[in-house]
Amino acid sequence: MIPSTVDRLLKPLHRWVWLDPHRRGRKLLRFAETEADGGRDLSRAAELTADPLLRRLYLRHSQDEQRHAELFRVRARQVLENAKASTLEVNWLTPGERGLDDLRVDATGEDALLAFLHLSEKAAAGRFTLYQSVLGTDEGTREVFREILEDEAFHMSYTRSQLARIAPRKQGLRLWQARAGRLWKTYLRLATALASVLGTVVLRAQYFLILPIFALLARRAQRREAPGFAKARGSNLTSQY
Amino acid sequence: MTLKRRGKIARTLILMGSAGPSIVDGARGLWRSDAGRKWLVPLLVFLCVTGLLLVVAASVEALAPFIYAIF
Amino acid sequence: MRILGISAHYHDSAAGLLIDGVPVCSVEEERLSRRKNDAAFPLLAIEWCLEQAGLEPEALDAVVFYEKPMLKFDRILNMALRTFPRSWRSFPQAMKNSLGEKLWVKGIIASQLGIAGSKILFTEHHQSHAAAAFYPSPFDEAAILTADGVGEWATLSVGRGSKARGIEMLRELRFPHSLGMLYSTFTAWLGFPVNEGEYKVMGLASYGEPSLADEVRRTVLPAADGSFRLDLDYFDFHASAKRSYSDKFTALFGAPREPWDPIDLGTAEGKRYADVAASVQLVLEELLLGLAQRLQRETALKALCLGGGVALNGVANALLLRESGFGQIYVPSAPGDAGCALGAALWADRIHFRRPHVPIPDHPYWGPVIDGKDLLRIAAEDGLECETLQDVPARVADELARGRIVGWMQGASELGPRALGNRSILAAPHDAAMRDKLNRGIKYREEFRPFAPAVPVEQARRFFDLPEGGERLGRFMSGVFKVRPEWRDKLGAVTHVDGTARVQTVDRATAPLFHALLEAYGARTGIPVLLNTSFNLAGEPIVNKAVEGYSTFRRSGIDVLVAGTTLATRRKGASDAMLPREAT
Repeated sequence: MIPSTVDRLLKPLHRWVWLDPHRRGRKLLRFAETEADGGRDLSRAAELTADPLLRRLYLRHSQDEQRHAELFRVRARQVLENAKASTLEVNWLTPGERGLDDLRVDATGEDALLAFLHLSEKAAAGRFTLYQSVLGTDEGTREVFREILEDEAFHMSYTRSQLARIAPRKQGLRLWQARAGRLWKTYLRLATALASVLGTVVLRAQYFLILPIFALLARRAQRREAPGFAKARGSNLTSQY
Repeated sequence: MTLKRRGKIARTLILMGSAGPSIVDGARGLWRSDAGRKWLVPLLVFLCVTGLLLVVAASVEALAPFIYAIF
Repeated sequence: MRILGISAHYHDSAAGLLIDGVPVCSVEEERLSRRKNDAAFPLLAIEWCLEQAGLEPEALDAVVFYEKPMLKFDRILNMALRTFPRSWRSFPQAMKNSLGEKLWVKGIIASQLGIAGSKILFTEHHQSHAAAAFYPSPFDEAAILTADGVGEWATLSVGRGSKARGIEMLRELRFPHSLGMLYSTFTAWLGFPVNEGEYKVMGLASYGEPSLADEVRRTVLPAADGSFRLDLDYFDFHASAKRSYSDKFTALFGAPREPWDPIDLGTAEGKRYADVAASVQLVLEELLLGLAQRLQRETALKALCLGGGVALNGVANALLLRESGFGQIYVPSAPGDAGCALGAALWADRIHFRRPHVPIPDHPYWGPVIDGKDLLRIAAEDGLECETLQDVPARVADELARGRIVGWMQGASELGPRALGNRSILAAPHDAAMRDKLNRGIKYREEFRPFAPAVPVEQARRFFDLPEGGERLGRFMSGVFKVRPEWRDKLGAVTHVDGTARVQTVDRATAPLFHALLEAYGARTGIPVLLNTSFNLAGEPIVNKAVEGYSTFRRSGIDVLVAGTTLATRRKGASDAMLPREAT
């Protein structure tokens, strides 16, 4: 599986990110969580589909994801056992199989779901291939990725063939829609992150500019409060206070 | 029975419509309470208004950074 | 009068419907959305409740939210101010968290349900807990004690209830002095997720000695009025969004456990964690007991109703039953926030609208009803062996007696965190190996966590050392009691390391089919006791529909699945490999 161009260009950076054992361990733990979440999404997909073959495939896929989660978890514990704490996580640079995080299985059509899964698996396989190549001497972690990549090949293949089966005429369209959807979600993630940063700046400015005087008053009021029990309030139900 | 699913903008408009009375309710409650924190009313109102901005931003995710920027 | 109660936005969102003073249905959002501890506005739960009663939202007379959002915001803002400038990091997060949606509940309800704002009411958080604990109880009069992390300001409240005169809340303890936060801080320090891992602390406590109780007592100081206050130098939850304990706390108890580190009770480190868990459990029990004894003396009442998340601590509940002076204790099946949906509706009905009390059915089964036909269809599609049973208890008892693990789905689902015989995984309780098999192969959880036994109420004393009132407390699995020494070997899978068990006493009138199953199993083995654990896998909510039970069955080591009268088994020799890869 070939990693994306962007990932290939950033290979030296990836190498640096994976170099630190504590960071590596934390990342593997995060991957474990993502795989477990993905597994739950897939079992939900199995519960919702009316197609018996898809149900069996989703359940198998879900079990694979659970197994991957366990592989990552076990390896993470081994890596973390002797690793010293590192403060810098750099999670944005090394996403796991995060595509499934954005999924609302209940609100996604069967063909759209298969297209989404296919692209997510493909992207994850590309990334995991890259991670394998930057792990230096960490043979244990490389082995975990190798094992998972074997499953990813199956996941890519079945999602593609099942998409062709249930939407023979619209498969191309669904894949393009899924690609556009991923792009849109990437933009939304970035926009939300940027908005969050701006919001934090605004609120922190308010905190230091406006709150100090109120903080003094709050402390004074606190000193007047008697310790222990207070009389129950018993307010009217029409009031939100 | 399925609840009528309103669009995000429609829901935000209804929510904004009820925000004024909610803020007044909060401010009145604080003013009348025996906690002795009348001085907190201006800050509570100010932050609630800030909160409305967050609600608007959340309703139009794609424009959220720009709304913050205007603010 | 039709009143819808809603709890939302923190953990375990839920909705519950009250018609003419009687609960009709209630369900947690997570059971329908399939997202564990779903805190979202419970749209699916509301829809389901209205559908059950055949109501349109406009037909509702009132919609009651379980707490007062503006009062809660007042507390959050005040804590930021009181801890200025330490709170500079947490302030933006706290504001974004509160101001985004949680503050505008009235608008959200109005926009989602399309009802007038005048129909929307707000109880106080602990009023909701109190009503949820008192009105469904079998007592005409009772003292009430509610305790959790925090509601708006209140963290603990005491009062008295009368079915004729209503509830009078006497006094409350306010944030940051909180029993729930005390326990949660230790939960976080022990590396468990807060609001979820408190069970683990209680389970772990049995493996330790309370050798650090004096250290814990340094962090929580008694007050003259029988309450307590936390020494805030040891805590940081009131000023920080990231960490609930301070450096002084870690200086006292040592470095916290990393969540990924396994707890090895054979090591000094593992023993230290267990000792800390035992110590905080002991101090919690002491504090609760002091509060309850004082309340008993003050009210001279015979019965106590407990509400709030702290009431999920079965060890403490059993101690209160033995030593508080209250002869009877009632804990609802959902004492936490999920139960507040019905609690808020009950408070509005009895207190706000001043309607007379009407008796409430005494059971926990308020959720969606299972349809066994769904299982029949799916299992047939997947080529599984499936049969429709004439005598469900007899056939399932046969399977259990053969050592099979059974996924059991019957009737309406339970409200609350515990499976009480309608959405359960059942197994033989005799051998500790069964506990390990379930922990490792199905529930994927730590080995120190115990499983609960279910027993017909009339036979409970034969196996368990129940004090007076123990049968009642055990009905919703709310008390932890000693297993009689002579039975411990024969109940190895459900007897905890300290010889206790969280017993469910099953009443024939409340759960006839489950009761019949226990009797049928007893007829075959001589011991009418079954291991009963919730029907879910790690990280997932308890199953609701047959298809969810089926999916869990296929992904785990459960041998037999029963939904209604339908029974499915794995094909002989079939493993988890359900589909050859070539079939794609």
